[in-house]
Amino acid sequence: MVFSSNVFLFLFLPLFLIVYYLLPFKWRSAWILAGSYALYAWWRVDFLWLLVAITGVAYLYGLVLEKQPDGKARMWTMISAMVLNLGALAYFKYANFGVESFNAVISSLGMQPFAWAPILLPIGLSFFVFHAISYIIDVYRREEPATHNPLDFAAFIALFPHLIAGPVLKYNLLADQFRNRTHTVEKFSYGATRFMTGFAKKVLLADTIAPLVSASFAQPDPTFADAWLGAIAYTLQLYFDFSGYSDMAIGLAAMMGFKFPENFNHPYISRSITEFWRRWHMSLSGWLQQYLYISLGGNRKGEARTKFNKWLTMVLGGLWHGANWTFVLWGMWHGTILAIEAELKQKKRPAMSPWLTIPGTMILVMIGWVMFRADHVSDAFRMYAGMLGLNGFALSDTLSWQVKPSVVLTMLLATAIVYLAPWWGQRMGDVGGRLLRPAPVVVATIALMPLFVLAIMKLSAQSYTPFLYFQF
Amino acid sequence: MTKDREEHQHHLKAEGLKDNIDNHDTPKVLHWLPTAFLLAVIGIGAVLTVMVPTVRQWPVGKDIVTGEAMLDYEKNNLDAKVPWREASVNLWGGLNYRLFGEARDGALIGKDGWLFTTEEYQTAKGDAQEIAGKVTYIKQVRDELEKDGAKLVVALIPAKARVYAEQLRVPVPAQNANIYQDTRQALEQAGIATPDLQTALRKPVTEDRNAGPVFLKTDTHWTPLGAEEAARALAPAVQAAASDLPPASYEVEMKPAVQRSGDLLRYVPVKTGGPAPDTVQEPEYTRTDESGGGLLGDETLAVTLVGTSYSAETKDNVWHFAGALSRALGTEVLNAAQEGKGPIVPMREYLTGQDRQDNPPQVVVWEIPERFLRVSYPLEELKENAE
Repeated sequence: MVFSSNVFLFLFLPLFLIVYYLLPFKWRSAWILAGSYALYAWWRVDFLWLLVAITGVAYLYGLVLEKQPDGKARMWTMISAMVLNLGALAYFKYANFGVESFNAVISSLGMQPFAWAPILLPIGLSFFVFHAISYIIDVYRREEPATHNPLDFAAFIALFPHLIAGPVLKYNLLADQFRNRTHTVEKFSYGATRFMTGFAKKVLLADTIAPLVSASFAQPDPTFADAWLGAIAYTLQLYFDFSGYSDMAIGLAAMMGFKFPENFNHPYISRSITEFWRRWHMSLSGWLQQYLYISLGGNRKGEARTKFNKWLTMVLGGLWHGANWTFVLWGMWHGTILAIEAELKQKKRPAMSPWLTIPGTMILVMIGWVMFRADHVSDAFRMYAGMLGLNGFALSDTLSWQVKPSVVLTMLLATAIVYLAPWWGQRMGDVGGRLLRPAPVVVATIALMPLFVLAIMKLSAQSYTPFLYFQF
Repeated sequence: MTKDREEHQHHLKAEGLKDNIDNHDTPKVLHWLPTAFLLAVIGIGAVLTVMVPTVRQWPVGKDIVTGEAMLDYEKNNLDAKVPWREASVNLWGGLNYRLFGEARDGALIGKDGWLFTTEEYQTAKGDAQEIAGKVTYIKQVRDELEKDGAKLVVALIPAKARVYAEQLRVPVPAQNANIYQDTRQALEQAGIATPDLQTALRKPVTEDRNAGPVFLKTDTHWTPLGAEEAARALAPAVQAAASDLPPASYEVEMKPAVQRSGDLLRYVPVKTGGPAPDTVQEPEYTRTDESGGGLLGDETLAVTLVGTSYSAETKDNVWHFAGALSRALGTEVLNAAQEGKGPIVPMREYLTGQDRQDNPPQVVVWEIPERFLRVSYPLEELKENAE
């Protein structure tokens, strides 16, 4: 079940919240578990067992690892846990592909179009497997005690705000919140605001831009204008879709009294790719750093190995998004740039003006997004040829009829929001939690409300696809 | 606070992020207003939704385990039926139309209230191959009809965007420019008569301003005049192909002019202020002489018309191409056209159907709108019949 849908907004959520707030605190974890499993099953009942299995296996491994004394046996226990979890991840990504896309199986390793809609439910697997892995490793490293509360643990893994598309969370970040959290109107209001913001971002901005992205990427011989228009459109679509979804997740969590960490921090003002990964999908990069990078040795094995570890982490992080060479190459692209940036930093190159580094970083990011979005590596290279002007410059007549003024305006608006938001945040008191200028925030929050209603209506309007009765 | 929470707070401060969930500096109104608003919206929405009868029904015969039933429920029982669906479509349709002059996906707005289907703009890399395949298929149909001594005449209808190119705001992709004439020539070279309907339909547009339109402004189909012009352009070819057309005389009566909202207006969901509907005078074709065969009426009709909604006599049809063709030929035409299936399926069904058996024709007129040439249809069946 997707958050931006009638079934979620008007059937699931009201029912869930009513029962949640009527129940005494000690029953709430069970209700969260029930509701989350129902939400997952709404997508496919036959995959619910996998969620339950991953949860159960992780819980049991926690207990075993806690008891086992340090040594080889314990290491093998942990390794077997990784094999099971990563094996499940690998298997189900392949199995889904065989069924879903015949072409994808032939031409690549097969994948689901993560790039298109990062909230597609199949991705839930990637998230809850990562949650399970982080728990097992934390217990193995003896950084956290194993939990003896299967209900809270299961509720954590299944917690519907983050089940489908994150943020990726450590169990222990939430463990104490399961035991003890406040429910106040202020928290709920904060959550409601975040939820409505995310909803509007996704439906009003991302969904409006989406068709142009598809049309552009479908051009057989994209020109300079075709390709850059598509790349920019996708850059905007992906950000508003994913950050919007994260806003909704954080908001829903807050409505249940949970505090989730932020997932995005104005990534498109980054001055380097290194900085980009501290601002984009922060929960994932944090996870990769803690569980993959550090496990590979982190920065403790010398300069060269450090760079390699970073690079490999990025490549595997890319692969996590989907089993397609496009994601691997995307990871390699970022990994290579990170290594180069680390090298430049060591050589103490002077800092460049943000007027150069911000657009420069954006160009690198957009080049990466084209690979990320493409269905196949060859499609990405078609776009790159276009971006270099090898197919001409002006907008193709096969694309121009699909470029709607409303979409172009939305893109301009979205770009303005991307670059005004950090300034707004600073002026309104982003830092340290003190709200410096309340009045504009109040106005903005009030303005959000009709936008939310408009977005709900757009959702309805979008699902209406008239067809010519006589068309075939 | 656990170690992780501390680290998290530290991380937030380091990145300059707010953590103001429990922020008491937040203005009082923001403490309760968003809650009240969101609960009101989802509360009212929930009540309105549950009141819809289909929302309380579960789809029958769909698989729950694989989620098929849930998808079906969402799409058909819920999303299609929420009470604000129509208002939403009209609101956003209206916004897009009034602010940007855009129609919904599927139609493009031209000048002066002219609407065009985007099907006439669509292109794909495999188009040339697809069209060549159609030409091959048409030849096979000609051969099949030949077995009973029937001749084929193709009524290739040019795209509305081609005939009314001056009314377009955005040009049709160049790769579609020659489809009509190239296909026509390929068919003519194969010995299949394909009269030039593009020239015939362009004439009233370019030469005679007073003639009236040949296509409806708000519909994908032609006007009675367009059908008539096409019929007149086809008549010589049909008469040349036929051996002996049994005569029939027709009279036409023009009904009073009425307003007619075309099928393309579906893509401009505004209640007022949208493109004006067409004004049409519907012709009524009546046969005035006695049908051959006297009381029993078992005259064999020499010409059969197969095609799409441009020919089929449906309740929306005001152009009556079959009647116009009968009148132009001076012989009654058997109408085996069907709507909503494209041009290939009606022909496939005709070739194996009862009409062909009961009424073996001398000439079959196959009406094919240009925009369907690039559409992929399963064509294998005819090959089986051909054996």
